Amino acid sequence: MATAHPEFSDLVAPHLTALFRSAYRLTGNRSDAEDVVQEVCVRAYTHLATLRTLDQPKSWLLKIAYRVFVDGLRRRTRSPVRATAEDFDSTRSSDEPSPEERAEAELAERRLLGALAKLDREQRALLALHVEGYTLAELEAMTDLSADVLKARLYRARVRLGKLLAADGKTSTLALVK
Amino acid sequence: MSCNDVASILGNHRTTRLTPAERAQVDEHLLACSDCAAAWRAQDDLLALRVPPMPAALLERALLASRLPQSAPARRARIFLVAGSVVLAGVAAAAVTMSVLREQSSPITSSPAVKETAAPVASDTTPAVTQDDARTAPAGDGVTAVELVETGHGDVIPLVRANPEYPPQALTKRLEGRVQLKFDVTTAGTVENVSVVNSSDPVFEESAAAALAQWRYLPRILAGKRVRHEGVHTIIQFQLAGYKEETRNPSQQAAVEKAMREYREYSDGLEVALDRLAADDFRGVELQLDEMQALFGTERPDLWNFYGYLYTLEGNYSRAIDAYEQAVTVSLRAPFPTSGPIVPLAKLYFARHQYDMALKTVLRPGLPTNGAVAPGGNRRLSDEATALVEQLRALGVTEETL
Repeated sequence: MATAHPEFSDLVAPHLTALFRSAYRLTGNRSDAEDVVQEVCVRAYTHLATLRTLDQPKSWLLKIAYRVFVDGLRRRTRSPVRATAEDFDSTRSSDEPSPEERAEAELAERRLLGALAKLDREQRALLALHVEGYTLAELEAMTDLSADVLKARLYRARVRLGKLLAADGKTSTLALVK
Repeated sequence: MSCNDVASILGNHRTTRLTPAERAQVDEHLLACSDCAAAWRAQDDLLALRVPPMPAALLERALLASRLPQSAPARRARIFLVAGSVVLAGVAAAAVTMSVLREQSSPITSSPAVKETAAPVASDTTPAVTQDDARTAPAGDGVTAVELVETGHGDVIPLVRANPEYPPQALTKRLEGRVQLKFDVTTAGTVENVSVVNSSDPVFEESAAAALAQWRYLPRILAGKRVRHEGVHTIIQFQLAGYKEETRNPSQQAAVEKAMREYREYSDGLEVALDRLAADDFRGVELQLDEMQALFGTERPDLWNFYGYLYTLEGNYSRAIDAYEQAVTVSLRAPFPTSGPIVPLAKLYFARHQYDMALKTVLRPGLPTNGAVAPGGNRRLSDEATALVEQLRALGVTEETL
């Protein structure tokens, strides 16, 4: 059933992994990440003519993803086909970490996602895309902000996140001692 | 080395390669500058975050979505109801307060992991029902019509509650009352076999039983499986709060209706999660909970409890502990704390042989009946919590050894 428009899917498919990765970093969970990707596709589809002419469709798509996230993800009518467990779990890597390592990593991950959720959306989005590996120059194109502004905002976002993480570490230990 | 330099290094992560000397300068600056140290730490943590693989059928779903009619409105409303106390309105013709006084079952150890170590506790104590447990919610300034108040006393806490109708005959006589009911919670979390144990007046019985039959609970877990939970008791109390219908002005009316609507949305969401749970669709439950947190925020102990419950079922105890800890933290911030996560959390610690943590959890101050010294000097613990404290005492872990 994967035929909205054959050309459209050809244009978008090569960038889908990058889109999903960034969307996951933006939202911190898979179902919201999927919603972001779907929303990006919905918007991109309405601008198929533009999409055709682009040299760099990926940064254009990411720019949409950035806007979708920063403006607040609106839940549209979803695709009636929903993700199932197999979609995610079939590709789990073979070198499984030990239960302790996994528990440790999961705890750290939860803390990080919790702290990220406390940042404002723009800060979170900038960090997400930057950590995903996009350069300041690429971010300039996505956000329409200058490199200097980006650098300063990224730094402030990191400081805030680091302090939230430190505070979280403290309170969770303290709360347990109490 | 300045903060600006550090910002540049962090900003150019892909191109900057530091020499050992530069790295030493960075380290020196990080020691002296707490902002840069925080930023550096954040960067490390961010880079460590794993991104799951892309779902296989994402493209198909995305393409399908791009063809769907797009008309759904944004649903980002927050419910301003407080945890543990659900303010409902608009059903009865006059103001009533309905309290769930106490819900509990006979103490049977129920955590899957505790079973090897836990001594069987089978003293089938009849649930003691004490009127003074009720923390009756304030009547409100004319907005409240019906209130459900969870005492948080028991270990069995309903997730979804239907609003009982205040019997019209009782209203005309301005009669208040209470009904004690006994029922079973099925493996799907639904309520069956409702029977009235006693009541102050038969007039309330039908309405209380009818409402209770629609409630939904998290099914009990025993030895890693969901089991039917028989003989759960609860008390539903009907109180008139002395509020006159006609004093409600339009804006209050609108606020009440909005709260009702949002509460219904929230309940519907939980029902979806419970239905998926009943169908063993754990992934679906998690997606639903994620979505509900996106819609209703992270300050809802119920949702964290549900995560904890789900991860316990999946055997993922570290995540379960984390979720229950969140439930406790969030509950402590709420105007009406609930002790719901306490027993499962303590049992998880117990199962991991973290006995001190288990006891600290049970005795944690600030939650109803947990560590709070009741009038008369006795701690009030639920039966399951008491059983756990006894097991810990048998292992030599007491309040004195903490």
